[in-house]
Amino acid sequence: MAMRQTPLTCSGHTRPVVDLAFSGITPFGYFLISACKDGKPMLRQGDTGDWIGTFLGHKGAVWGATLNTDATKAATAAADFTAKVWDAVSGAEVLTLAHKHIVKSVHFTKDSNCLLTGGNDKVIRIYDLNQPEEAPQEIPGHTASIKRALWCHDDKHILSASEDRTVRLWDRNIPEAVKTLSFDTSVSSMEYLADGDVVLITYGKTIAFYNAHSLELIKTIVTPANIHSASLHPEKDFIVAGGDDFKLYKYDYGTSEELESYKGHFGPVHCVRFSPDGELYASGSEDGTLRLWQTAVGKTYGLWKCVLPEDLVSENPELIYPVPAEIKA
Amino acid sequence: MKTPVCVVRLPRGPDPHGRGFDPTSPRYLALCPSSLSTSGEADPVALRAEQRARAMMRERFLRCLISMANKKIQFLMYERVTVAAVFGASDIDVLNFQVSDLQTPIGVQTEALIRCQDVISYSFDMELQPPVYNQLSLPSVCCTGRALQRGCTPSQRTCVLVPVLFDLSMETVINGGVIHLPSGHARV
Repeated sequence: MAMRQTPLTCSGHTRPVVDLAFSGITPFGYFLISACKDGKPMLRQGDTGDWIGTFLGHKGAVWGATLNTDATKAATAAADFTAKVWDAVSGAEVLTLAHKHIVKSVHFTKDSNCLLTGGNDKVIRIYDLNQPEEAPQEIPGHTASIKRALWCHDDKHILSASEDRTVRLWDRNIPEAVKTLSFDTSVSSMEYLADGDVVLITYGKTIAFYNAHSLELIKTIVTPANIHSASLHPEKDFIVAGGDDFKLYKYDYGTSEELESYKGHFGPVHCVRFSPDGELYASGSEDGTLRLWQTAVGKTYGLWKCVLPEDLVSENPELIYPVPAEIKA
Repeated sequence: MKTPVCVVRLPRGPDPHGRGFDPTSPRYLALCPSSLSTSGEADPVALRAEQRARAMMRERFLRCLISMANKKIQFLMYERVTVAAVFGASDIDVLNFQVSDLQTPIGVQTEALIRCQDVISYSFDMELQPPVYNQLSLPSVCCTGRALQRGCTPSQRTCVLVPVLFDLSMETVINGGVIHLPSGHARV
């Protein structure tokens, strides 16, 4: 029997949230960064959604944001033609990397030494963060804006998704793409899961899974609405996806069956990510909020508390009941 | 019957004052290196002298902000922009200056915010012998951001300053003498 899910709403942004990313699990928990069109990316505690700080400095909409594994550094990509690297502990700006056009995507290598950037100038760039004055390594090839660029295969390869309707796999030492996937429509999102070597690509109403080395199709799932973003659970049990119809969908990865759909957002869902421990997933929307959803609804975790029927009868002042989804938070 | 899911509380939202990153949090205390990286002097005496100099610079900058209140300031900004305005206040992180009567080529803005990172330098007239400066006997302080303007002449009346940001090199004129402070990541 499925429980109705009411998400935890994180407010603070004043414009649409277009990207979000989790860090790895650190001794202080895990963290979440959100990119917003208001130009002020925010860092939050990953399991509770509590605001930690806002990175101030960008002069335009922030399109992409990422954290390194231990959440000591953050990187953001913005419409002010720069990518910035930040100290994620103090909030200080560490580096500004000037580009020739809007930057859309940023990604750290596992050792946080290099930053991958991609944007509307169609060129993938690799910056050595220990030598920021050095010119970045450039990988041209895409014929339209790059939406997302990710490291994969132990940072030896790069996966890039572009408005030219291709996803390309690159070896950082070879100028030509190793493999290319073509689509009939633009790709809305792309995720890479090292464990299992799977690439998740969404386009139109489809969520598709490919082998990250051969780029061979593993499976596809068709959803009721145009999907903007999807995420695969770390243990590959579930997929969550969100898009134009404001809902969050949950599918079983093994059977491709739709398990649940949740209402909550008041605008299209732009990004969805599972937390590194898989216990919750976060969604960012056009409505300017982030919402945290439980994977196992009803479990005690973070700010959620499992309530047994007996406890409901007694007066328990600590517990507050969530407002129904229809009432605006 | 569907059992409702309970929450202990809602996620905390942003603090309207300041940008967060609580310096008293356990993570900050454990991970954040001191924001003042020194010139690398191992000698404790030199280190103390450097720290004194830093403290003095910081005090000067803060007193300068106080003395600027309600005065007409000329701002020299990037892209060859020069504007004048009446200074109101600075925010806690020195990211924005609140000004009134901002004189721009396209008109006068009654109230405005000036983004500090866009400012190269600013100048204003100080009164002679203001009480607050007696102890420091400070006729003038010259400091610049990345480009050290050696040509600027300190005068009794005008003080040329730049909001001190992340890295700067300073040349401080004290009582006629010149002390050159090491460049680097000095955040005053």
